[in-house]
This record gives sequence, C-alpha cells and structure tokens, in this order.
Amino acid sequence: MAPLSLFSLFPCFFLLLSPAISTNSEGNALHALRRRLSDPTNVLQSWDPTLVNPCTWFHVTCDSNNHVIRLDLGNSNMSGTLGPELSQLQHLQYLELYKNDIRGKIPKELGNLKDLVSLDMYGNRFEGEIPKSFAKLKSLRFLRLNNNKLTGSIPRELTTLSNLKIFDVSNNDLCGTIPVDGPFAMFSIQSFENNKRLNGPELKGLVPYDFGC
Amino acid sequence: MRAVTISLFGFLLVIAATIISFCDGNSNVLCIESERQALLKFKQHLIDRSNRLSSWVEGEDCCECLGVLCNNLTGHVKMLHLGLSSPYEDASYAEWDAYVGSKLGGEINPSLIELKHLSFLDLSNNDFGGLAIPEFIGSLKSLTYLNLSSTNFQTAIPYNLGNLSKLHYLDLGHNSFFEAKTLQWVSGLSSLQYLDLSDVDLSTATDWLQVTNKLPSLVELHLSDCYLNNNDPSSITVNYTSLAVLDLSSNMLSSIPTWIFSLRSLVSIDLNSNAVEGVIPNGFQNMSSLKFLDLSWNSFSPSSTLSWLSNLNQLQFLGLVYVGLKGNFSSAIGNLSSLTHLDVSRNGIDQEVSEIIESLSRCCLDGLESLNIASNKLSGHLPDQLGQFKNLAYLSLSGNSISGPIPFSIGKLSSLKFLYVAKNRLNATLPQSLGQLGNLEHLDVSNNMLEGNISEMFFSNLLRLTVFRASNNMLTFKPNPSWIPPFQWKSIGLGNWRLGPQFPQWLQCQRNMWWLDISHTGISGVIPTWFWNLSTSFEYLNLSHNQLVGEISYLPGSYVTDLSYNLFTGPLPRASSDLNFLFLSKNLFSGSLSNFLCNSSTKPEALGFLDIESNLLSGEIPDCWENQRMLEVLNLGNNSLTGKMPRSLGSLRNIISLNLRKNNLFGEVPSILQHLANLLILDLSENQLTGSIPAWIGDKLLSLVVLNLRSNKFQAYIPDQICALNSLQFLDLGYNNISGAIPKCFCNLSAMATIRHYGFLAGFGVAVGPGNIFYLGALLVMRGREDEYSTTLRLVTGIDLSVNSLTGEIPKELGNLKELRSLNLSGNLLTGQIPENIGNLEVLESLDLSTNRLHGEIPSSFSNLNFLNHFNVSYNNLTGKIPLGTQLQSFDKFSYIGNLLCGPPITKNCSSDGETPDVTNGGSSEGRHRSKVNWLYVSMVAGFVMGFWGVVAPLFFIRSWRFAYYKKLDHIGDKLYVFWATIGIRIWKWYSML
Repeated sequence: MAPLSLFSLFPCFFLLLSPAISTNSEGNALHALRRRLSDPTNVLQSWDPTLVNPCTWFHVTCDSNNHVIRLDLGNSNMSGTLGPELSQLQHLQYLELYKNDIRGKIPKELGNLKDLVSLDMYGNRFEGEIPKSFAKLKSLRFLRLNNNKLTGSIPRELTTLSNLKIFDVSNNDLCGTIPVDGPFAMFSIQSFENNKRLNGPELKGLVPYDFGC
Repeated sequence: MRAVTISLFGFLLVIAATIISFCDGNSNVLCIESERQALLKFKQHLIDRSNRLSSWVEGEDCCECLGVLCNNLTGHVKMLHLGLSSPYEDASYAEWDAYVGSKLGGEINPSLIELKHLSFLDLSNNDFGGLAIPEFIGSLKSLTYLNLSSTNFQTAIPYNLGNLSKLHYLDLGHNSFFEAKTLQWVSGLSSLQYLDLSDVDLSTATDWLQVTNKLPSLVELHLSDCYLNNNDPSSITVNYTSLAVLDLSSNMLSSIPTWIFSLRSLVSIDLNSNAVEGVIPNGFQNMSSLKFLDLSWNSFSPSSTLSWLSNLNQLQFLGLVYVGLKGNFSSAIGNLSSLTHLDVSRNGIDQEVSEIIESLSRCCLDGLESLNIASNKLSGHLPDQLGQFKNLAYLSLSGNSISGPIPFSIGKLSSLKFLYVAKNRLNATLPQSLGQLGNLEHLDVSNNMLEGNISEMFFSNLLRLTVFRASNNMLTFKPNPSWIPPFQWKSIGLGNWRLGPQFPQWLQCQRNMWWLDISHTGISGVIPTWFWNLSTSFEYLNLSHNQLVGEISYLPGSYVTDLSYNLFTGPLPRASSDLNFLFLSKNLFSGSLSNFLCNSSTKPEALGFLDIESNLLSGEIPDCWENQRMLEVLNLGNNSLTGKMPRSLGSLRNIISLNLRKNNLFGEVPSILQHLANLLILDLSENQLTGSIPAWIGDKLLSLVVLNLRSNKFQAYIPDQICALNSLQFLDLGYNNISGAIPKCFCNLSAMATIRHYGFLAGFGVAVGPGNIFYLGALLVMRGREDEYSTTLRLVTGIDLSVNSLTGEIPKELGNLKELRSLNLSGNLLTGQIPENIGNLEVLESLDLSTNRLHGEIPSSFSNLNFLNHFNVSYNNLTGKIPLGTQLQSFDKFSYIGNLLCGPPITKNCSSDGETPDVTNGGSSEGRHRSKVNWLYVSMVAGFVMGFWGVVAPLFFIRSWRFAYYKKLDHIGDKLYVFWATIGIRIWKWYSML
C-alpha cells in the first residue's frame, strides 16, 4: 500500500549539497561566487543552484533571454574574495559589490565583461593593482574603486574608455601620476585624493607615469 | 544503514533449525489426534488470506504441517512457527503488499490449550486487528518461548502471563497496548533471559527498573519506545547480575542514567533517539566489554569529546548519527581495533576523507564491514587505500563535498554490497574496476559530475546489482540494440544521462523494475508498446523532459508517474486507480477533462497531485471533484478551459495549491471555495473572472501565501479583510478594474514585514516518494518579468496592484513592510507625495510607481535602497533633483521621464544658472561635500608647472646625455633632478589642496 502520509507538507530548511545540477554557466559562475563569499546576513539564501537559471535569485537581474545583466550586492555585509569565474557573466552590465568586506585582488578577467556599464567595488578591502584589462570595458560609464587598498599606478590604458563618466579611486594606496587624456580630462581631484604616493597629473614625455611607484 | 544488533539468542534459532531437520527425517511419528483437532480448530478461527496454512487439512499428519514441529519421540506438538519476517526497508511496495497480504488475522482460539507440551509459540508480525492477548496464553505452562511482537494486539497485557514461569524468551514488543501502570507481573518470570516490551507505554510504570533488576537470569532487556524518562526512584541499587544487552532506544531520557555505567558486564547499549543533552559522558570509558554502542539521534552538545572511545577496544558497532560532531573525527578512531560497523552520518565532520580512511586502515582494516559517513563536510579525494578494506560490505559517503575520481582500487572491495556516494563532486568516469564488484547490490552515484561513456561491458559482472541510481551526471550509455542485460534491476536512475534518441530497448528484459528515472535523456519518438505491457508495476516512473510523442491510453504506474515536458498528444490517458502523483504538464494533451475525471469506472481515486498545466485542454472544468478528496495540488493552468469555476472544487478540503491561471474562466469565484482552508497558493490569474474580490478570502483562507488574481475583470474595492492574511507573502491584483484606495491596513500583512531566515532551500516541499521532494511552484510577476518561484518561494515577498483605478495617496504604512522585495503600484490614479519611508524598505529590489499622479520630490531616503535593480517613477508630476545613489543613477532616463525632475541620469540640469551638473560625485562619495575645484586655477597651476618643467627639462636631457658628454656633471645632475622634481611635485600638491 502506498504510504499516503507522505503527502504531508513540511518546511525544508536543509542545505542542498549537490551543486552540479545547474547546467547554466552563468548560474555556475554565481554559485562559485557564493562559495567564495561569507554571507552572515543570508543575503544570498535564494541562490539555489538547482534551478535552471539564476533569474529568480534575488539580487540577480536577467534580461529577456535569461542572461544575467545585474548583480546588486552593495552593502550586504559580505566578506571573502572574487574569482575569475565572474567573467562568465558575459552579459553583465552592472556589478555592484560596494561597501562590503571583500578582499584580495580584483580579478583581471573582469575585463572580459564587454557589456559592463557600472563596476562599483568601492568600500571593500581589495588590494593589488587596477587590472589593465579594464581598458577592454568599452561600455563602462561608472568605475568606482575608492576606499580599498589598491596599489600600483593607474593603468594608462583606461584613457581609452571614452564612455567613462565617473571614475573614483580615492582612498587607496596608488602611486605614479594621474592620466590626463580621454575621459580623465574631466574627473575632479576628489576622485584621486588620499593616495599618498599619487603624484599629480601626468606630464607626458617628462615624467614616467609610474614615477614614484 | 541496516540495523545491526547483537543478540545472544541466536542459539534458539540453531535449536529450532536442528529440530526441523530432525523432524523431517522422522516423519513416521504421527501427531496426536487431539492435538490435530486443536490445530484445525485454531486454524478455523484464523483469517488466512494468502492461504499460508493450506497444508493444515483434515487427515494429514499435523507434524508435517507448515510451521508445526513435534517431539520426534512422543509426537506432541512442541513448536508453532507462525511468525513472519518483515521485508527490508528498501523493498518495493509490491513486496510490502505481499508481506502485508500474508499476515494471519482473526482470533486465537483457546483450543491451543490442548497442546500441553507446546514450548515455543511465535505469532510475530501477524495482525490480530486490535484484539486483546487471550487470557488462556497465560495457561500454556510449558512455554519457554513466546513471541507476540508486532501482532497488533491491543488493550492491556494480561497479568497472568506472569504465571509462565518456564519462559526464557518473551517478546511483546511493537503492539498497541494501553499504558502499563506496573510491571509487577514480570517478577513471576523467574527463568526469563530475554524480555522485549518495546512500544509499551511505561511512563507511569515506575517499577520497571526494580522488577527487571530482580530477574536473576535476564540477559537481554529491550525497552525501546516505552516513554521512559529519567524519573527512576533513585534509591534502587541496580546490579542486573547477568544483563548483557540493554536497549533503551527511542525513549525520552534527557540524561544517560548513571546506573548504566556500573554495569560493567554490558556488551550492548542502545540509547539512540532519546533527548539526551550535554556532552557525551566519559562513563563509557570503563565499560571495556562493550561491543555495541549506539548514541545516535540525541542532542549532545557540539563540545563533546570522544576521548572515552580510546578504551573500548572490544567495540564492534559504534553509532553516532546526528549527535553534533564537529571538525576532526579521525583522531577519535584510535584504538577501536575490533570495529566492524561505524555510523557517524549526519554530523559536521569537516576534514579530508583520506584522513578518516587512513585512521580506519590503521585500526580496523580487516574487520570493517560497514562504514557510514554520509551527510558531513568531508572534502578532498577518495584515497586508493579505500581498496584495502577487504570485508567492507556497506559504504556510504553521500552528501559530502568529496571531489576527484572514484579510485580504481574500489574494484578490490570484493565484499562490497552497498555503495552510496551520491551528492558529492566526483568527476571523471565510473572506473571499469567498479564493474568487477560481483557482490554489489546497490550502487548510488547520483548527483555528481561524472562523465564519459559507459559500455555494456561495464555491467557484465554486476550480476547482483538491483539498485542502480546514477541520475544527474553527464554520462552516456548507448548499448547495442540487441544487448540483453545480464541483470534484473529493480530501481534504475539514469536521469540526465545521454540515452537517446532511441527508447532504451534493453529495458524490455527488466522484469522487476519498480523505480525508473530516464528523464532528460534525449529520447524521442513513440514509446514502444512493450513498455506499457511490461508486467512490472512502476511505483515511480519518470519519463519527463524528453521528446516523446504519440497518444497514451493507459498509465499503469502506481504512486508517481511523471510524463511532463514531452510532446504527447491525444486525450488524457486513463490512470491506474492507485496513482497518487501525476505530472502531465507541458505536453499537447487535448480534449476535455471530464472523461478522465468523472467516468465512474476509470476515474483515478487516490490522486494527491494532478499537474496538467500547459496542455491543450478545452471545454469546461467538470463538476465531479467530490471524487478527489485527497487532492492536495491541482494545476490546470495555461489551457483553454472555459466556463465557470465548478462548485465541487469546494470539496477539495485538502488542497494546498490551486492553479487555474491562463484559461478562459468567467463568472464569479464561487463562495464555496472558502472551505479550502489549507490553501497556500491560489492562482486564478489571466482569466475573465468578474465580481468583487471576495472578502471571505481574508476571513477563511488564512494560510494563503500567494494570492494571484492578476489580469481578470475584478472590480470594486480591495476588501480590508485581505489584511488578515498574515501568512500572505505575495499579493497580485494587477490588471483588474479595482477602484478605491489602497487599504492602510496592508501594514498588518506581517509575513511581508518580518525577516525569515531559512537555510536553503526555502520552498514548500511535498514528498513525492522517498527522498524525492517536489516544491510547490508559483508563476509570479516580479522585477518586470514573470518567473516560476519554487525552492525559494518562502523568500518571495511582493505587492502588485498595477493597472487598476486606485485613487488616493500611497499609504505611508507600506513603509512598515520591511521585507518587501517588490512593489508595483504603476498605472493607477494615485495622488499625493511618495512616502519618505518607502526608502526604509531595505530589501526592496523592484519599485514601480510609474504612470500615476504623484507629485513632490523623490524622497532622499531612496538613496539607501542598495538592492534596487528595477525602478520606475516615470510619468508622474514629480519635481526636484533626483537623489544621488549608486543604484538610483544606474537606471537610465526612461525610469524618470515624464516628470519635472533634474540631475543625472537625465540630462536636464538642476540649477537655473546653467552650472554643469557634477556627475563625478555620483553616489560613490555620498555625504562628501561636493567638488568646488575651480578649473581656472587648475589650468593656471598646470601652466605654471609646465613652464617650470620647461626649465627643468634640459636636465633630463643632460641625464640621458651624460654618458657621452658630461660624465663629470653626472653626479650633480642627478642630484639636481631629484631635488627639482621633488620640489615641483610638492608645490603642485600643496596647490591642489587649496
């Protein structure tokens, strides 16, 4: 006799331990991100890897083709690091990770996110250099990396980002000089302040841009 | 893991077996006539549905009858073996049915008293339907063995059983006796060696310890599930002179009775499933005779240490399931040199699996027979060493994070019968060596990342395999069509494998299948007729997510059948009457529902789950739902059903999810639906329903989590009663003709106001067969798109009142719904200002207030909405500056147009004097004062620096020329360069700080 008592409804609080079900590379990339992050306030609890795509996950926005276009995780009390897998979010336009406690290097692979409009990583503990690969982000309008522990010089390659409207690297530990070409002609000095070793605007042909680094 | 218990009563069975063979060899001793008559009379009063006692007939020698054993010299009936043994837990329902069917019933006739020499009576596992144990049993004075366990006897235990002073063995366990007030009668059983009173309520029989303690020969005591607590009279000195086996499992002990630790002769202690708290006591360390110890399923504190294990070098069985173990376990294994069975599943053991295998190989390489570490946090790879456990018969490592390949050495585990490594991250392919395990009966590798081609050869030696679960891997299996499998599998899980496009022909030879999952395997075409004619009875059949076509006339499966996501056509198939779960969604079934549901001879009768969503069903919804009282989930969404909602839907009193969305239903919602008090999800969206939104929804359907009436023709006001739905998480009344104001009492929708934290998954799960959970789904419009939410449904919160004729202001009370993730009030006639406290809805992801008549400014509090990813306030009368915030500026101008707003992202400047808006400040430096740099000064200083460097520049050239020309100036030049360069930069910095 079939045990009909199994019809009973029950709350399911258990952790699903099989990560391999999702066939969706974007979902896998986000799941990999989730594994790298510590999430004490359960912001990511809707990120169920067994779903066909991540479009019903909160803080993830998809377009009509179910490609992830936004990741909004600003001010989420998260710590941990980022990994190269984020570059699999090929259609990502907004990557909002500001005001968390994420550390480590900014993955250079983020430079492959061709559609990225906004990259906000301010208010974390990122270290290392600003990846030169960001010069490939031709759609980028907002690049806020302020209030981190970034070192090295500002890559000159970023001057080719003609759509860049907002650029902020203040409160880091950058060195060298400030680019003056392209969109950098219009950024205010506040975007660069509090970098003890950053030595003023570039004087091309006179001082190497990484002077003092 | 199968229960392994140590019983010292094996010898009784040996004696029985000896007698059987003895008896058979001396069949010339006939049974005594009076005893034969007594047995026949006994049989007459029994109900024997399966005709087990067919050999008990007049004229036959009763000593030859099944289950009867006589003394070979006297011919007296000595033993009655009429007990049954129950099937294993993993037996199919058919096996269980056979077992249940062969139970004897009826009544036990006192004629048995005639059997004066009866010493052995076993009636276990029969079903005497709630009768009392007959009093005369207490008069069978010769009995030494009495087993009435699991026989469904009820009422009280007759005290006169205490007269059976010769009894060695008494098992009355697992019946439904009334609460026993005393066990005093047991004290008469002075010869008793074995006593089992499991399932007898002894909560008030406080003398149980005193009485059993005085039985001089007692060796085994089983008091499982007896509601024992720790209220023993503490004055008793417990000595149990000969007790070896103590089973107090499944009681209510909150601590381990300390007298246990004084019983140094104990060989076996079972305390599993009590409510013991605190750390695991050290007392066990002195019980060096222990061979069996089960402390599983207690509430020990995670700070328990296992150092006490180090003395127990006789221990063979150790059960520590779900006792909160954390971190490292391998160090505790230490000296357990006799260990044969270890179960530490469902803990938080967090280390490399190879470390545990290494420890076990040092202590018990040759002895270990059973190892269960499932559902822990093991990581790393499976070591080659695993192959050295020659006697391992049971291995479960499921539900960990073990990665890498299954080692080739697994093929050396020649004793292995059960291998479970599901839900890990194993990769590579199934090693050929695994196919050499000729004793393997169960293999579960499902939910891993295995890949590659499996050939027929792989299975050629797995002749004993009956359960093969391997779903959700990336494996391929395309045997030669003429291949005849050498095995008979009962349970086959190949979901997500590549099997197609041909329907697997080899299944034709499988006669014992009852569980089959070949979903999502790329098979297409018509299901061959032989498949439906297989004599096998499917209890779980999953053919979903393929490209199967054609009509189906009859579904033979019982319990679960899933044909969803295929291309089946024609009328709905007739279903077997005992089908419980039927999934036919996303197919091309057409025609009406009434034949399927209302035909009195063929209608399904046990449906709990009926999902026919997204087919081509037409006609009216038939009015015969009173036949389907067990229905819990009904999904008829996305068909072409028409007419009014039938009144008999109101008889679905158990229903928890009713989905009729996207049909052509019209008329009002019948008020009889107010009886569906268990409803969690009610989705009537996208129909032509009219009338007002029923107020009884708020009065009666108090469990509602999702109420979706979107896209109908409902009118009038939103009834205040809706606010009483304090479980409601999602309310969609969008696209109707609703007028009036938004009720202020929405702030009482407390499920949208309180934070809920679940692990994940956070859905409403319904068990569909063992270990298989179906999550109730709801198709919801959120964040501007329609998605199905299921495993995360408990996390979804939203209100959608869009495109109605709502008037008045947005109630500021909405700001109390702190867990609201989505709010859509667009397309109404709302007036007034946007309440400032909407900006307090910290988890809000989607906010649409567009196309209303709102005025005033966008509240500055909106800058706090960190998670906003969908935002629209266009086409209102909003004025002023768009507040700054990383999120707010990330939306394009279309989120803001049709207002009198200014500032980024729209191009209109905010100040009248034409000052360039300072986009650079964005949201990144919120709160920081705005830049006041005067670019005139900046260019002045740039000019100064340029000129200055014009002077210094030659020094650079001097530096580069120095090797050729001014070797002598070299030193001075360098110094000058550094000096000037430093000064220059300092001046610049100094200036820039102004």
